[in-house]
Amino acid sequence: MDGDETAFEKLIQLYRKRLYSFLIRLCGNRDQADDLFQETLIKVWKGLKHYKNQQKFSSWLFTIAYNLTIDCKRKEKTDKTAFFTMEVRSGENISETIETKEAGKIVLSLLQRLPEKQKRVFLLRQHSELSFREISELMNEPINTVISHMNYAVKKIRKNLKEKYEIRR
Amino acid sequence: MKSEDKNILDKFEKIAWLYTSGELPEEEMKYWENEIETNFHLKDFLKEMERVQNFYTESGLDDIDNDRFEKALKNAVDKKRSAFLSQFLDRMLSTKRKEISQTYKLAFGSLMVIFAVALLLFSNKPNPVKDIGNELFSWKNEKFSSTVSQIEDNIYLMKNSDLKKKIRQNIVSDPWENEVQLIRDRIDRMESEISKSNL
Repeated sequence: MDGDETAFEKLIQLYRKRLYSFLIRLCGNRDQADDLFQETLIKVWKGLKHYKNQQKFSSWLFTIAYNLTIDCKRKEKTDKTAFFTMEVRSGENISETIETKEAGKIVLSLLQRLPEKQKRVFLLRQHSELSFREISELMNEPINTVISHMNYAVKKIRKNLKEKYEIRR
Repeated sequence: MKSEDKNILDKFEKIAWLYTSGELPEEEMKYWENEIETNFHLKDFLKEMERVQNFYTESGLDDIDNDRFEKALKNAVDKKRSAFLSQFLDRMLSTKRKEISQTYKLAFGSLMVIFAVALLLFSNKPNPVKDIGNELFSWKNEKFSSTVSQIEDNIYLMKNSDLKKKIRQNIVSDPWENEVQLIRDRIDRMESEISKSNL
């Protein structure tokens, strides 16, 4: 490995978990997330020459990852298998997490039940350091729509958390 | 909750995320800072937002298998390398080119000049002077030919008396005068013949 490659590895190591979590939560499938992770790295390495310092590296990285995931989902739109698997997993996770009272895991499970666009906005905001304006550009949605997606996502998660804790108590 | 507070809360909900991400204009940021300070409901709303985000953060992050990570990294770099194989050669050449650029430019420029001169010299370009000469000559020839033939015709006419007569008739409109002239001509001719025979 030469200097460029070592630097690239160091850079990716910094975002490794955040990127992988983003991908797995966005596509809901581990195998697919693995492939997307690799695709993202390929694109990033290829595009490093054209990377503009005006944008945060993390924003650029997550924009690439997001676009690849959306393309991948578009191609698989007719194939519901992956989505179904994700739903079942979410159901299992909910029962597990309620028992262990791990609120974080509940949030994750609830996130998978959110409408697609709400989930996308939430994940982009949490992982990418993109501003809401940048997210609205990336998703090609007006900023007010993006904000209301975020509001609905957080309200639903908050509401579900309250209900579930009250039920258990 | 008072209706006034509810109104403010509704307004705040619409921009709360822009407020937390600092994307509001400075004046609006200050306005909401003041409102949050004095309004318990707004503070509570912000806390709820933070809590959900904190819960999410607490859920931790998934990690990719080390082997898979290494593989992904290697593949990314390898793919790039193969795509850049040709570009690498270009880079090498460009580096050398920089070093010899001045000599290369001079040599190239000289070659171009030599080539241009050779092209001018050996090209089968038509000679404009030659062409004009030919044209002029052929024009003169035609003119001369026609003039010569005209003179010949006139001499022939002069020799032929009938024709002379006819010409005279054409030139002189009075027939009597014409006949007188013809007689004069004959007398002149006879006198010249007599003088020739005396000699």
